[in-house]
Amino acid sequence: MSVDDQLLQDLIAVRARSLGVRCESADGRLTVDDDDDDDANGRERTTTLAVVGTIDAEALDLCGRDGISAVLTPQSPAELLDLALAPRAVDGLVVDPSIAARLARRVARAEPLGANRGLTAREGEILRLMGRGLPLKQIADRLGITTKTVENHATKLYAKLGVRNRREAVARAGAGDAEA
Amino acid sequence: MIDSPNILVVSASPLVHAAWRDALDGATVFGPNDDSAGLDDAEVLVLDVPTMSQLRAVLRGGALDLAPQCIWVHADIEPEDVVTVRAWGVTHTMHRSAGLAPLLALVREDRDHPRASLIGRIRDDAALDELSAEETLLLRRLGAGQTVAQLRAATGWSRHEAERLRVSALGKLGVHTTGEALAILTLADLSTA
Repeated sequence: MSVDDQLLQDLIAVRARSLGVRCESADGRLTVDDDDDDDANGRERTTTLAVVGTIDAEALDLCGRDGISAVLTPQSPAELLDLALAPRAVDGLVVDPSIAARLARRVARAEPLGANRGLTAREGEILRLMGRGLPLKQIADRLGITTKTVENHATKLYAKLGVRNRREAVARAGAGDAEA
Repeated sequence: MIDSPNILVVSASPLVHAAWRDALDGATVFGPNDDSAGLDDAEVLVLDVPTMSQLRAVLRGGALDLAPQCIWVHADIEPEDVVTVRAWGVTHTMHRSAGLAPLLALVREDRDHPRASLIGRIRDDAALDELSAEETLLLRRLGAGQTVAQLRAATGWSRHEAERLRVSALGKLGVHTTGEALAILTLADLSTA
Protein backbone atom coordinates (compact mmCIF):
# COMPACT_ATOMS: atom_id res chain seq x y z
CA MET A 1 0.00 0.00 0.00
CA SER A 2 1.30 3.43 -0.83
CA VAL A 3 1.71 6.16 1.71
CA ASP A 4 -1.35 8.40 1.76
CA ASP A 5 0.58 11.52 2.53
CA GLN A 6 -0.20 14.68 0.60
CA LEU A 7 2.91 16.57 1.70
CA LEU A 8 5.22 13.73 0.64
CA GLN A 9 3.54 13.48 -2.74
CA ASP A 10 3.65 17.26 -3.24
CA LEU A 11 7.35 17.35 -2.43
CA ILE A 12 8.12 14.51 -4.82
CA ALA A 13 6.15 16.33 -7.51
CA VAL A 14 8.25 19.45 -6.87
CA ARG A 15 11.43 17.39 -7.16
CA ALA A 16 10.15 15.80 -10.38
CA ARG A 17 9.52 19.21 -11.93
CA SER A 18 13.01 20.35 -11.03
CA LEU A 19 14.36 17.28 -12.83
CA GLY A 20 12.26 18.02 -15.90
CA VAL A 21 9.59 15.36 -15.64
CA ARG A 22 5.89 15.70 -15.03
CA CYS A 23 4.48 14.00 -12.01
CA GLU A 24 0.83 13.53 -11.11
CA SER A 25 -0.65 12.04 -8.00
CA ALA A 26 -3.38 9.42 -8.19
CA ASP A 27 -4.56 6.89 -5.65
CA GLY A 28 -1.64 7.58 -3.38
CA ARG A 29 0.94 6.89 -6.07
CA LEU A 30 2.82 9.20 -8.35
CA THR A 31 2.61 8.79 -12.10
CA VAL A 32 5.65 10.13 -13.88
CA ASP A 33 5.45 11.23 -17.50
CA ASP A 34 8.64 11.67 -19.45
CA ASP A 35 8.08 13.63 -22.66
CA ASP A 36 10.96 11.87 -24.40
CA ASP A 37 10.02 8.41 -23.25
CA ASP A 38 7.70 7.24 -26.01
CA ASP A 39 7.24 3.66 -27.05
CA ALA A 40 7.89 2.30 -30.54
CA ASN A 41 4.48 3.51 -31.71
CA GLY A 42 5.06 7.04 -30.48
CA ARG A 43 2.66 6.66 -27.59
CA GLU A 44 3.67 8.25 -24.35
CA ARG A 45 4.71 5.78 -21.68
CA THR A 46 4.05 6.44 -18.03
CA THR A 47 5.60 4.86 -15.00
CA THR A 48 4.34 4.73 -11.46
CA LEU A 49 6.37 5.49 -8.39
CA ALA A 50 5.13 3.96 -5.13
CA VAL A 51 6.17 5.11 -1.66
CA VAL A 52 5.19 2.56 0.97
CA GLY A 53 4.85 3.20 4.68
CA THR A 54 5.54 -0.37 5.77
CA ILE A 55 7.44 -3.15 4.05
CA ASP A 56 4.86 -5.90 4.03
CA ALA A 57 3.83 -8.59 1.56
CA GLU A 58 1.74 -6.06 -0.34
CA ALA A 59 4.75 -3.78 -0.74
CA LEU A 60 6.83 -6.69 -2.05
CA ASP A 61 4.06 -7.59 -4.50
CA LEU A 62 4.17 -4.03 -5.86
CA CYS A 63 7.70 -4.72 -7.11
CA GLY A 64 6.33 -7.28 -9.54
CA ARG A 65 3.47 -5.22 -10.93
CA ASP A 66 3.54 -3.99 -14.50
CA GLY A 67 4.05 -0.23 -14.77
CA ILE A 68 5.70 0.20 -11.39
CA SER A 69 9.09 1.87 -11.82
CA ALA A 70 10.12 2.37 -8.23
CA VAL A 71 9.13 1.22 -4.75
CA LEU A 72 10.58 3.43 -2.03
CA THR A 73 9.96 4.31 1.60
CA PRO A 74 10.06 7.71 3.33
CA GLN A 75 13.38 6.54 4.81
CA SER A 76 14.93 5.92 1.38
CA PRO A 77 17.87 8.14 0.43
CA ALA A 78 17.08 11.16 -1.75
CA GLU A 79 19.44 9.81 -4.42
CA LEU A 80 17.04 6.91 -5.05
CA LEU A 81 14.20 9.32 -5.72
CA ASP A 82 16.32 11.19 -8.27
CA LEU A 83 17.28 7.87 -9.84
CA ALA A 84 13.63 6.87 -10.07
CA LEU A 85 12.62 10.20 -11.58
CA ALA A 86 15.52 10.59 -13.99
CA PRO A 87 14.28 10.00 -17.54
CA ARG A 88 15.36 6.57 -18.74
CA ALA A 89 18.29 6.56 -16.33
CA VAL A 90 17.49 3.05 -15.21
CA ASP A 91 15.96 0.30 -17.26
CA GLY A 92 14.19 -1.64 -14.58
CA LEU A 93 12.99 -1.18 -11.06
CA VAL A 94 14.37 1.16 -8.41
CA VAL A 95 13.76 -0.28 -4.95
CA ASP A 96 14.84 0.74 -1.49
CA PRO A 97 17.66 -1.51 -0.20
CA SER A 98 15.52 -2.70 2.71
CA ILE A 99 12.81 -3.81 0.26
CA ALA A 100 15.39 -5.44 -2.00
CA ALA A 101 16.72 -7.45 0.92
CA ARG A 102 13.24 -8.73 1.72
CA LEU A 103 12.68 -9.56 -1.93
CA ALA A 104 15.94 -11.50 -2.07
CA ARG A 105 14.96 -13.52 0.97
CA ARG A 106 11.56 -14.23 -0.55
CA VAL A 107 13.17 -15.47 -3.77
CA ALA A 108 15.70 -17.59 -1.88
CA ARG A 109 12.96 -19.26 0.13
CA ALA A 110 10.49 -19.53 -2.70
CA GLU A 111 9.35 -22.82 -4.06
CA PRO A 112 7.33 -23.07 -7.24
CA LEU A 113 3.90 -21.64 -6.62
CA GLY A 114 1.48 -24.40 -5.84
CA ALA A 115 4.19 -26.93 -5.09
CA ASN A 116 3.08 -29.45 -2.48
CA ARG A 117 -0.48 -28.44 -3.18
CA GLY A 118 -0.95 -30.72 -6.14
CA LEU A 119 -1.02 -27.97 -8.75
CA THR A 120 0.15 -28.73 -12.25
CA ALA A 121 2.92 -26.62 -13.76
CA ARG A 122 0.34 -24.74 -15.86
CA GLU A 123 -1.86 -24.04 -12.84
CA GLY A 124 1.19 -22.83 -10.93
CA GLU A 125 2.10 -20.51 -13.82
CA ILE A 126 -1.43 -19.09 -13.91
CA LEU A 127 -1.35 -18.56 -10.15
CA ARG A 128 1.96 -16.72 -10.49
CA LEU A 129 0.51 -14.39 -13.12
CA MET A 130 -2.59 -13.85 -10.98
CA GLY A 131 -0.23 -12.79 -8.21
CA ARG A 132 1.15 -10.11 -10.50
CA GLY A 133 -2.32 -8.67 -10.89
CA LEU A 134 -2.88 -9.66 -14.50
CA PRO A 135 -6.50 -10.12 -15.63
CA LEU A 136 -7.48 -13.47 -17.15
CA LYS A 137 -7.39 -12.09 -20.70
CA GLN A 138 -3.77 -10.96 -20.31
CA ILE A 139 -2.82 -14.26 -18.69
CA ALA A 140 -4.35 -16.06 -21.69
CA ASP A 141 -2.39 -13.84 -24.08
CA ARG A 142 0.86 -14.45 -22.21
CA LEU A 143 0.42 -18.21 -22.23
CA GLY A 144 -0.98 -18.39 -25.77
CA ILE A 145 -4.21 -20.07 -24.68
CA THR A 146 -7.84 -18.97 -24.62
CA THR A 147 -9.46 -17.12 -21.75
CA LYS A 148 -11.86 -20.04 -21.36
CA THR A 149 -8.93 -22.42 -20.83
CA VAL A 150 -7.46 -20.08 -18.23
CA GLU A 151 -10.83 -20.06 -16.47
CA ASN A 152 -10.86 -23.87 -16.44
CA HIS A 153 -7.35 -23.99 -14.95
CA ALA A 154 -8.36 -21.34 -12.41
CA THR A 155 -11.40 -23.32 -11.31
CA LYS A 156 -9.27 -26.42 -10.74
CA LEU A 157 -6.52 -24.59 -8.86
CA TYR A 158 -9.10 -22.84 -6.63
CA ALA A 159 -10.49 -26.28 -5.73
CA LYS A 160 -7.02 -27.68 -4.99
CA LEU A 161 -6.16 -24.71 -2.78
CA GLY A 162 -9.56 -24.74 -1.13
CA VAL A 163 -10.30 -21.10 -1.99
CA ARG A 164 -13.19 -19.28 -3.65
CA ASN A 165 -11.49 -16.65 -5.82
CA ARG A 166 -8.19 -15.37 -7.18
CA ARG A 167 -7.60 -13.01 -4.27
CA GLU A 168 -7.80 -15.87 -1.82
CA ALA A 169 -5.69 -18.07 -4.10
CA VAL A 170 -2.90 -15.48 -4.31
CA ALA A 171 -3.07 -14.87 -0.57
CA ARG A 172 -2.92 -18.62 0.13
CA ALA A 173 0.03 -19.09 -2.20
CA GLY A 174 1.85 -16.11 -0.72
CA ALA A 175 1.17 -16.95 2.93
CA GLY A 176 4.31 -16.58 4.99
CA ASP A 177 5.90 -13.97 2.75
CA ALA A 178 5.06 -11.18 5.19
CA GLU A 179 7.21 -12.88 7.81
CA ALA A 180 10.05 -13.58 5.41
CA MET B 1 6.29 39.57 4.38
CA ILE B 2 9.79 38.22 4.84
CA ASP B 3 12.12 38.79 1.89
CA SER B 4 14.37 35.79 1.21
CA PRO B 5 14.13 34.51 4.76
CA ASN B 6 16.73 32.19 6.22
CA ILE B 7 14.74 28.94 6.16
CA LEU B 8 15.79 25.77 7.96
CA VAL B 9 13.95 22.48 7.56
CA VAL B 10 14.22 19.43 9.79
CA SER B 11 12.79 16.48 7.89
CA ALA B 12 12.47 12.91 9.13
CA SER B 13 12.23 11.67 5.54
CA PRO B 14 15.60 11.62 3.71
CA LEU B 15 13.67 10.81 0.53
CA VAL B 16 12.48 14.40 0.27
CA HIS B 17 15.46 16.35 1.59
CA ALA B 18 16.38 17.57 -1.90
CA ALA B 19 12.70 18.22 -2.63
CA TRP B 20 12.45 20.46 0.42
CA ARG B 21 15.37 22.52 -0.91
CA ASP B 22 13.60 22.83 -4.27
CA ALA B 23 10.25 23.71 -2.71
CA LEU B 24 11.67 26.33 -0.34
CA ASP B 25 14.24 27.83 -2.70
CA GLY B 26 17.52 26.75 -1.24
CA ALA B 27 16.46 26.14 2.33
CA THR B 28 18.95 24.32 4.55
CA VAL B 29 17.71 20.82 5.38
CA PHE B 30 18.68 18.69 8.37
CA GLY B 31 17.77 15.19 9.47
CA PRO B 32 16.25 14.91 12.95
CA ASN B 33 19.41 13.23 14.26
CA ASP B 34 21.80 15.78 12.78
CA ASP B 35 23.43 18.40 14.93
CA SER B 36 20.69 21.00 15.27
CA ALA B 37 23.02 23.84 16.21
CA GLY B 38 21.84 26.91 14.35
CA LEU B 39 18.13 26.14 14.47
CA ASP B 40 17.62 29.23 16.58
CA ASP B 41 19.28 31.41 13.91
CA ALA B 42 16.57 30.68 11.35
CA GLU B 43 13.90 33.20 10.46
CA VAL B 44 11.58 30.37 9.44
CA LEU B 45 11.92 26.88 10.86
CA VAL B 46 9.95 23.97 9.34
CA LEU B 47 9.83 20.82 11.46
CA ASP B 48 8.73 17.91 9.27
CA VAL B 49 8.82 15.31 12.03
CA PRO B 50 5.67 13.20 12.41
CA THR B 51 5.49 12.49 16.11
CA MET B 52 5.53 14.42 19.34
CA SER B 53 8.46 12.37 20.67
CA GLN B 54 10.54 13.21 17.58
CA LEU B 55 9.64 16.86 17.96
CA ARG B 56 10.63 16.74 21.61
CA ALA B 57 14.01 15.26 20.66
CA VAL B 58 14.67 17.90 17.99
CA LEU B 59 13.69 20.76 20.27
CA ARG B 60 15.46 19.14 23.24
CA GLY B 61 12.26 19.34 25.22
CA GLY B 62 11.72 22.99 24.42
CA ALA B 63 15.15 24.20 25.45
CA LEU B 64 15.79 26.06 22.17
CA ASP B 65 15.07 29.70 21.43
CA LEU B 66 13.12 29.19 18.22
CA ALA B 67 12.67 31.20 15.05
CA PRO B 68 9.93 33.85 14.80
CA GLN B 69 8.06 31.39 12.60
CA CYS B 70 8.29 27.75 13.61
CA ILE B 71 5.95 25.43 11.72
CA TRP B 72 5.45 21.87 12.97
CA VAL B 73 4.27 19.55 10.20
CA HIS B 74 2.90 16.57 12.07
CA ALA B 75 1.19 13.26 11.38
CA ASP B 76 -1.24 13.55 14.23
CA ILE B 77 -1.82 15.81 17.17
CA GLU B 78 -3.56 15.57 20.50
CA PRO B 79 -5.27 18.60 22.01
CA GLU B 80 -2.86 18.67 24.92
CA ASP B 81 0.12 18.48 22.52
CA VAL B 82 -0.76 21.72 20.79
CA VAL B 83 -0.68 23.57 24.08
CA THR B 84 2.70 22.04 24.90
CA VAL B 85 4.31 22.86 21.55
CA ARG B 86 3.04 26.43 21.75
CA ALA B 87 4.82 26.72 25.06
CA TRP B 88 7.98 25.46 23.33
CA GLY B 89 7.76 28.27 20.77
CA VAL B 90 6.10 26.47 17.86
CA THR B 91 4.00 29.16 16.18
CA HIS B 92 2.08 27.02 13.67
CA THR B 93 1.05 23.41 13.34
CA MET B 94 -0.08 21.69 10.17
CA HIS B 95 -1.11 18.14 9.34
CA ARG B 96 0.89 16.36 6.60
CA SER B 97 -2.30 15.58 4.71
CA ALA B 98 -2.76 19.31 4.07
CA GLY B 99 0.08 19.18 1.55
CA LEU B 100 2.62 21.78 0.54
CA ALA B 101 0.43 24.73 -0.49
CA PRO B 102 -0.62 25.91 3.00
CA LEU B 103 2.93 25.51 4.24
CA LEU B 104 4.26 27.73 1.46
CA ALA B 105 1.49 30.21 2.29
CA LEU B 106 2.65 30.27 5.90
CA VAL B 107 6.26 30.84 4.89
CA ARG B 108 4.99 33.79 2.87
CA GLU B 109 2.98 34.80 5.94
CA ASP B 110 -0.22 34.49 3.95
CA ARG B 111 -2.45 33.70 6.90
CA ASP B 112 -5.58 33.94 4.74
CA HIS B 113 -4.84 30.64 3.00
CA PRO B 114 -7.85 28.36 3.67
CA ARG B 115 -5.61 25.71 5.22
CA ALA B 116 -3.24 28.04 7.02
CA SER B 117 -2.34 26.43 10.24
CA LEU B 118 -3.89 25.75 13.56
CA ILE B 119 -2.06 27.91 16.08
CA GLY B 120 -1.55 30.81 13.69
CA ARG B 121 -5.24 30.98 12.89
CA ILE B 122 -6.68 30.61 16.34
CA ARG B 123 -5.48 34.01 17.51
CA ASP B 124 -8.19 35.85 15.62
CA ASP B 125 -10.22 32.88 14.52
CA ALA B 126 -13.94 33.28 14.07
CA ALA B 127 -14.34 29.76 12.69
CA LEU B 128 -15.66 28.44 16.00
CA ASP B 129 -18.63 30.78 15.66
CA GLU B 130 -19.48 29.12 12.36
CA LEU B 131 -20.07 25.74 13.99
CA SER B 132 -23.67 24.73 14.46
CA ALA B 133 -24.91 23.84 17.93
CA GLU B 134 -24.85 20.15 17.00
CA GLU B 135 -21.29 20.33 15.64
CA THR B 136 -20.11 22.12 18.77
CA LEU B 137 -21.87 19.55 20.94
CA LEU B 138 -20.18 16.71 19.06
CA LEU B 139 -16.71 18.19 19.46
CA ARG B 140 -17.27 19.08 23.10
CA ARG B 141 -18.44 15.56 23.92
CA LEU B 142 -15.53 13.97 22.03
CA GLY B 143 -13.15 16.36 23.75
CA ALA B 144 -14.55 15.25 27.09
CA GLY B 145 -13.54 11.70 26.23
CA GLN B 146 -16.92 10.37 25.16
CA THR B 147 -16.83 7.71 22.46
CA VAL B 148 -18.84 8.02 19.27
CA ALA B 149 -21.04 5.14 20.44
CA GLN B 150 -21.75 6.92 23.73
CA LEU B 151 -22.42 10.14 21.85
CA ARG B 152 -24.88 8.41 19.54
CA ALA B 153 -26.65 6.79 22.46
CA ALA B 154 -27.00 10.16 24.18
CA THR B 155 -28.15 12.12 21.15
CA GLY B 156 -29.98 9.56 19.06
CA TRP B 157 -27.82 10.40 16.02
CA SER B 158 -27.24 7.71 13.45
CA ARG B 159 -23.66 6.71 12.64
CA HIS B 160 -24.04 8.52 9.32
CA GLU B 161 -25.34 11.69 10.99
CA ALA B 162 -22.51 11.73 13.53
CA GLU B 163 -19.92 11.33 10.79
CA ARG B 164 -21.57 14.02 8.67
CA LEU B 165 -21.43 16.46 11.60
CA ARG B 166 -17.80 15.57 12.31
CA VAL B 167 -16.72 16.11 8.69
CA SER B 168 -18.70 19.35 8.49
CA ALA B 169 -17.06 20.66 11.66
CA LEU B 170 -13.57 19.80 10.41
CA GLY B 171 -14.31 21.58 7.13
CA LYS B 172 -15.49 24.75 8.86
CA LEU B 173 -12.40 24.78 11.09
CA GLY B 174 -10.13 24.08 8.13
CA VAL B 175 -8.47 21.06 9.72
CA HIS B 176 -8.05 17.43 8.72
CA THR B 177 -8.33 15.49 11.95
CA THR B 178 -10.59 15.41 14.97
CA GLY B 179 -7.50 15.91 17.13
CA GLU B 180 -6.77 19.22 15.40
CA ALA B 181 -10.38 20.36 15.85
CA LEU B 182 -10.26 19.51 19.54
CA ALA B 183 -6.96 21.37 19.81
CA ILE B 184 -8.65 24.49 18.43
CA LEU B 185 -11.36 24.18 21.07
CA THR B 186 -8.72 23.70 23.77
CA LEU B 187 -6.78 26.75 22.68
CA ALA B 188 -9.95 28.83 22.45
CA ASP B 189 -10.91 27.79 25.97
CA LEU B 190 -7.44 28.70 27.21
CA SER B 191 -7.49 32.12 25.56
CA THR B 192 -10.88 33.01 27.02
CA ALA B 193 -10.19 31.56 30.47
